[in-house]
Amino acid sequence: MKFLDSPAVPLVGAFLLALVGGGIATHIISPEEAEPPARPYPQPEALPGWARQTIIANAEDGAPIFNQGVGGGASCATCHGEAGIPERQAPYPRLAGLSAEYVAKQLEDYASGVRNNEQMTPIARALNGAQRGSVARYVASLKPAETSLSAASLDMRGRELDEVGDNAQAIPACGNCHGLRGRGEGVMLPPLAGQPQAYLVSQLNAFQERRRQNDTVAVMEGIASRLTPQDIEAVARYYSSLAPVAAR
Amino acid sequence: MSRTLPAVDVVVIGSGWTGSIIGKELAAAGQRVVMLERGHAKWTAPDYASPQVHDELKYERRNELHQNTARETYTFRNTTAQTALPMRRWGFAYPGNHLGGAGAHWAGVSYRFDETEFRLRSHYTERYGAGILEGLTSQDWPVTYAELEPLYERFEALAGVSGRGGNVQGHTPPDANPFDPPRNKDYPNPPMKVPFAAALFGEAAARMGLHPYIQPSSLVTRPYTNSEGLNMSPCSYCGFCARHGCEHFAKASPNICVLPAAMKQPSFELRTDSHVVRIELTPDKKRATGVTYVDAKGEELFQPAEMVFSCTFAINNARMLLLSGIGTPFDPTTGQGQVGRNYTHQTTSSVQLFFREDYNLNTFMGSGASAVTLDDYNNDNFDHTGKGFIGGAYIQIQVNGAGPINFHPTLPETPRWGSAFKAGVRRYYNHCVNITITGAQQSHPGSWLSLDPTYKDAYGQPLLRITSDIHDSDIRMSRFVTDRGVEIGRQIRGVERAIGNPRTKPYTSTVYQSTHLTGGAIMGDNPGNSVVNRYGQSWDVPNVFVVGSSMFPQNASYNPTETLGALSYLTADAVKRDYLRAPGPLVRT
Repeated sequence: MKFLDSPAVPLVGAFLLALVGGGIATHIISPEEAEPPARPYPQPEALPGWARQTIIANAEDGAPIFNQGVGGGASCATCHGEAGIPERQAPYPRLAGLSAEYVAKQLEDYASGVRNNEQMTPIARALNGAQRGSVARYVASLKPAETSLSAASLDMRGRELDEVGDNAQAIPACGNCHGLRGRGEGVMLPPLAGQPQAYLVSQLNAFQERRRQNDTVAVMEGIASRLTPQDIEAVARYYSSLAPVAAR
Repeated sequence: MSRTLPAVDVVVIGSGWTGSIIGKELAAAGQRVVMLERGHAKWTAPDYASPQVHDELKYERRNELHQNTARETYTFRNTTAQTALPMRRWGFAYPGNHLGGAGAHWAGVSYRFDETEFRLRSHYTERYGAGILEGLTSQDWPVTYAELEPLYERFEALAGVSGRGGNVQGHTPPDANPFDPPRNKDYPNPPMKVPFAAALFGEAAARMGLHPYIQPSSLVTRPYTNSEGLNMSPCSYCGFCARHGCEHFAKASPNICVLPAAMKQPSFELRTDSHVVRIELTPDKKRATGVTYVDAKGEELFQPAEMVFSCTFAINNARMLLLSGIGTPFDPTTGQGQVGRNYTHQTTSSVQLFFREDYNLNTFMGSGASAVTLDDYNNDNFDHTGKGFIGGAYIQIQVNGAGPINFHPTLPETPRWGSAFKAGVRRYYNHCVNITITGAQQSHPGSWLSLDPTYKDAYGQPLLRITSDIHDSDIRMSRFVTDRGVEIGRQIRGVERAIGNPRTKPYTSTVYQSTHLTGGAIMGDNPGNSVVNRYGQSWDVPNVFVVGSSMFPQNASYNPTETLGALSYLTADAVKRDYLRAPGPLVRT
């Protein structure tokens, strides 16, 4: 991991991280130092802090944080479930199946306030960067339990938004980014299948009302702003009824 | 005998950028507009949803969105001594054959032309003497950069172009392009993200004292509501851009940026699967009466109209004129006649870079226009004295999605098949990228368009014949700029080998050299040097307008879309302002 402090690190585009599948690997870090040019030139985004922390973290260190919490605060398991699967009617997200990179970024965004939630913000702020990386790695080790499709998956409007979108409202299909039937895409596009309906509704509302602004290019803010309350209900009902699949 | 339909004010042939802009503008001005598109109706949702739209075999190898060569294609030859043969499989061109035309399957690269381009002959003659243009028929445009500047701005607001202006009211940010033409406003959206390979290129170029910048692009970089009130979403750098439709509402296209606004106009009607076979004229050939087209059922229909706008793919405009008997065909033996003259393409080349194995370039991620570019050897940004050519090329690394079917790089000495080939691809797939060099192409009498005497399309009409080779002037330009590319390539970290591939003769239809075909119905300031005036209006038949890159007297190094968008607004404005009030020639000679 000696490359992490190299001046060449800024040459790693954050968008590479956003799109590459299979986890962040050290090999995408530029392999050698170079004399920086005197003249300014177009730069990729720097490797964000959460990504560095996630690279060096261990899942084992995250287990006690997940199950017991830190400093007497609530543990992750209290709301999200020991296996990372919350109560079905709860408004908390299913963590099982999310990638370490996605979870680490959310924790950093809660701490900084670009993703705002009265329960999660103080919890994220109580963790230091290394702890966030570790607990994110632990979350990624939780495998989702398979559930079967229910009749609600036949919600036609939700399925339409997933598979084709809505041309008149310039709403792209959810599946364009979140993968076939909500199974997730790469490490930074979270699976939607099997997330509790109440959670999905709350997040689309949060994007729409700008309480959640942690999407790096504001894709979701734009899309959510054009979804009607009925569409939000339909797409949330649709995904909550689908079997979750681990992020690839 | 064709059936005659109720008359309208305007027929627009083609639903690409030019047709869509003009059709929308005239419908909004109250004109009854019928747009005839030969391809199917295809909309972002549902037709371009992923994962189906990421089918590399279907879209990139089997040309799903391109003119079907079994029905219609071009024939090609280098010289008049040869018999042209039909292009049965596209090597370049990729004429659109679906709603939005090539504007739906383009890559989004969005440059303005350099100021010198508009007075090319005058500029080079003044600076270097007339000898530098010997053998070339390249000429001045009848419109200046200053006139187009506000129209470029309008197109950029329509397409949501992302970039950082290098000359915004005289201000040049340090990492923007210092060679940019002057602009009144910066781009509507910030520049795209920089891929690793492109950043390595910029780093090396900056170290050499050159001026790398992020290529401007019509892939929006944040949620954007365009000048028509239509919404776009940011690009996700999925790597499936050129030759594909965009599922994200991120790549600007007529389908998402103009046509929905046109279709809200009560006087606008779109008819797809409608193939125009000719523009009909009065017996004296001084006036168009409408167009004849064949619909999806195969029925031939006559659509009467007061005005006809031919907005077909690039050089197909020349074919439409030739099939309709408008203007005088160019005769290369006498040099007389204008229709078909000054066909140009682009003078492209590359430098292949092979990297050490510890440089993982991941070029499968990117977008059609994600690039770092430099213009130090473009236009007249460097001294041409004694070089034997005019113009130049832009040099860049563009990371646009290295699909596994299209991209399997190996060293030149590696066998083209077998286990050694496979081992070579495995070694270099993630450790190879091209510097691409996209250059101007000059017009000359040996490069022109005509109707083919041998081959016909599915409707029984002669195909368009391309007769062309590249002029030696451009061959010298390609060698000069490619050598500069090799110099940069050798300075890039991690590069083991840099192999330059300058353009050589003969020009061939089997090698990709961009899709930017131009000319054949060029504009000028009088009927003796052009087919149309500055508004695309035919000198011979003033109620026919022929708009698009067919108007370019020669081709610039830059991609054509912004310029043909600006020209579309120039035409639409002149028609609304002057022609509707007093139909007739807009330019008197």
